[in-house]
Amino acid sequence: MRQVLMEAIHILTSPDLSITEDLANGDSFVTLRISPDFVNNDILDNMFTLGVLCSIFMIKTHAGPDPISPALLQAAIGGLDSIVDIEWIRGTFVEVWETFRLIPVNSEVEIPNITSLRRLFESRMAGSNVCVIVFLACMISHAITVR
Amino acid sequence: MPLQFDSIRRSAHNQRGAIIRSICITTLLGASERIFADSLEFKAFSNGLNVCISSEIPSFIEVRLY
Repeated sequence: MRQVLMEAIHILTSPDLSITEDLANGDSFVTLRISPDFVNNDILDNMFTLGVLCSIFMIKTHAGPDPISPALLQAAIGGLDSIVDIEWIRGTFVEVWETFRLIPVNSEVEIPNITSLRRLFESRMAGSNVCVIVFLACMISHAITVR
Repeated sequence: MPLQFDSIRRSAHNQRGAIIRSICITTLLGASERIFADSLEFKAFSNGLNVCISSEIPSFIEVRLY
């Protein structure tokens, strides 16, 4: 049964279907490909089926349904808040943690100017709301200082 | 776009938590929190995963919830 489930999961995560993507974090896990446009029912059916298969796989084998990202599974079961757990990330995503650990948790310490951090922020957060908010806050702060 | 990273580095102290949360979610899931959580794709996957966990015998026809 394990091989059948694994094969079904591999079919759904194959590049041909394009419902998942590898985030190139160095761990070969895949997550859902989120489309900015209209999503047809065939894609949603496949994603629903992938969720069911992952669940059956975990229940029957007591193992993770490789190559589905543990972060995706955790987010679906425990909500997005549950993946923002430093200890869990450290134990689950070793490669990502090597970069994350460079960010000081203590907000009094400035984020260091390190190439791997710069690359991470610029590839992941370009145009995100947090970037915009931080940028505006810096501009306002600068304007107040000049004044 | 160095301005963005440099802006983040100079960000106010009370924004560090939001920055760490955002970078965690976008790195591990591939999209921002709002886009990912609101997407039909994530809802479909979650429905499939959770309906199976909460039911010992899932019916592939009857449990289509989205």
